[in-house]
Amino acid sequence: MSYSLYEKNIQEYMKRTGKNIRAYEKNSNAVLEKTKDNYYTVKINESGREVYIHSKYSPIKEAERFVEKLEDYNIKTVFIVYGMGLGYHILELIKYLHKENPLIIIEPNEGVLSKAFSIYDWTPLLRRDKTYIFTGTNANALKLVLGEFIDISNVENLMLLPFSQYHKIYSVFYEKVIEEVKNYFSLFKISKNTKEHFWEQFNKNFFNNLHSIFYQRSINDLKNQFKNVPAFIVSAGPSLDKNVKELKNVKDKGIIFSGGRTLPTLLNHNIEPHFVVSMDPGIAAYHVLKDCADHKFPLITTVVSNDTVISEHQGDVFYISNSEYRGLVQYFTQRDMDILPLGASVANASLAIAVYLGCNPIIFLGQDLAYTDGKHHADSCGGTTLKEDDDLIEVEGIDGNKVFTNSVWHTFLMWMEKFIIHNPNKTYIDATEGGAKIHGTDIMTLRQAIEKYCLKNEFIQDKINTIIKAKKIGYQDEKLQRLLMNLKVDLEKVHKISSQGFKEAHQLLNKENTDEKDIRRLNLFETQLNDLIKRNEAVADILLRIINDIDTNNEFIEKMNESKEEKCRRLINRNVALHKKIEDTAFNINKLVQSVIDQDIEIIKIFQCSISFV
Amino acid sequence: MNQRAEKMEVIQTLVEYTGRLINGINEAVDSFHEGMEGKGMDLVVQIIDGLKWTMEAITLTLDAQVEPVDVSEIIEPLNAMIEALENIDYVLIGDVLEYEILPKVEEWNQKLNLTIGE
Repeated sequence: MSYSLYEKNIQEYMKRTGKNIRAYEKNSNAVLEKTKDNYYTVKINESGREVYIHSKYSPIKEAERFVEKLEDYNIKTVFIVYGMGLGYHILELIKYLHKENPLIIIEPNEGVLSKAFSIYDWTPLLRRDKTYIFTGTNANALKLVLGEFIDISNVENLMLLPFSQYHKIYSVFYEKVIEEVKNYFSLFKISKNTKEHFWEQFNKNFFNNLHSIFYQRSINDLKNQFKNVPAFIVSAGPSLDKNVKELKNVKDKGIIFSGGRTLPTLLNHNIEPHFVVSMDPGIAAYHVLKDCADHKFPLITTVVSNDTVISEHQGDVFYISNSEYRGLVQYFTQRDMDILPLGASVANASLAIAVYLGCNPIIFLGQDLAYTDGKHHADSCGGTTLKEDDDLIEVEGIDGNKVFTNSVWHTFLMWMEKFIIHNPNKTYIDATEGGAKIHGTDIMTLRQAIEKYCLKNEFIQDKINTIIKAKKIGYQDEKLQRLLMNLKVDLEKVHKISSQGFKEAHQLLNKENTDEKDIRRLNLFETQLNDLIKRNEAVADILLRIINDIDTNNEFIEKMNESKEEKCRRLINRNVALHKKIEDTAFNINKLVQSVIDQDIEIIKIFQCSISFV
Repeated sequence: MNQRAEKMEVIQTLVEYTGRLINGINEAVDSFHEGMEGKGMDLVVQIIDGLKWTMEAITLTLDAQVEPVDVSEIIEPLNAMIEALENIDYVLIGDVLEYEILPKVEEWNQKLNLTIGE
């Protein structure tokens, strides 16, 4: 063993992961052995049997075979290799990767990594961008690492490669790895599908909400305003009817967050929430609370949430921005408006909001996330019963027994657990009194939680009223009109450029022997669009999300070792798709902008009439 | 048919059989490398049965072989195989098949071919 080499690797690994691999050397069950061709293999004693990680005849040939299996990947593919061993296969794999390819190597046995560190200089790999060597078998820690690399743009572009017999030797953890990868896949897939599904709805909502966004408050006005105030997040699970009446005792000693579905239940019990949270962009968000849609409780919502919910609502609104509308929000309001990690349910969002407001502890009720007594929701929230075709997943219940959930609720549950791991400095209480176990929460009854944490009057209502008054924005309709007109003009330019770009790219589809000159010509259209992107942050928002969508589509991502001809073809196809999408979107958004201009002109006329009348 | 002719017929069968055995070993090696351990293990059982018959047939026809095959050469690889099977070490099972047993069976096939090509 070369001591300095070993030390160098150990230090670099510690820098990257904070883990000291040296500590595992002493009790390691891994032994280095020379191979017949004078390299090394490693033998481990696992559960009383001795097994080799690498061939003891030719580990190099084995590594070459490992990469032979590679196919259908591109420069953005996320590689997850299960098993580091002594790393011959990793060195071989690296030869085939682009610098953009993320690489996660999972080595369940720290002792094996220690051996790898003793025979080769791994510091270049450890310093490689987008690379992580995970060691051990802690599924929660792995979840966090995977979260660093897997996102909505690459979730359909993952490659899990088990090396050698790792999947057999460490089969239990391998199952966990598969489960975690699948979880991320479904989490982001839902998110991606939601975005695609609601794309037009988002735009329509945003522009219909624009007048309200312009004049109402930002979520930033509430940031850390309720430090260490208990938060109660009310969800519509079947257990809600058991204990909802206890909430009456919270009064102003804790903040009550209600979703739309639970609002009628609370009002029937004469309980007034401090905030109503509504996230859904679809009309379903309105249907669940339509009998009391004209309530006056402050609404916390996003800029793209359902426009009917917002237009019917009679109270004040606190808006959360959206990552794809950040520029548009900034362009129109010129105020700070944060983006929160909102998850996929109102309860997920309420949790993130409560933490953002500074609340602690966070107490859940009605958060069954399971078919308690065979029901979807509490009877008071229009509960339906379990149907035969519901997809059932068995999870741990709060009492340790198994309960049934479905894939959607499971996604909500996973999101909460991940959020709790990422925000460890809070206390989380599950006071649902039933349903699935939310790891990271303490379990108690709602009565116990209120008795334990609601100890003093926090004057929450007064605080909210003060914030609302302080953040009032005066009449500025002409300013809004100017901004709308300016956006309209720029979108007309975008439409013209992309119409021409589409036409030319489309013509090239039928041309034989296309070359780089053709591509350079097409690039001119994107250059013109980029100039507009730089000039107008609202245009940037609209165009960049289309460009991002196109550039994360596997069809348009550069393939490894593609020929010049393949590259030209790919780029032409990309331009056709890009300009078509931009042309259509610019046209559609301009219609929305025009309708806001028309509405606003009406309002201005009425306003001016009323002034002259006075 | 005299005894020699019978032995030549057995050797002819042995040549064909060891050819099939070589294919079977290669298929088993590929199975282990591709993570199809179940298929690989099914093939290993058949390969060991096949080797047993091959060794018996080689021993019975020794005096008819131009270049006699020494079946004892396979004992050591088979012991390594037993150890690998006991440990359920798929890497070693694949290794022993590829680097120990396969070269021996190929060598036997060539030697036996010499006899029938006489």
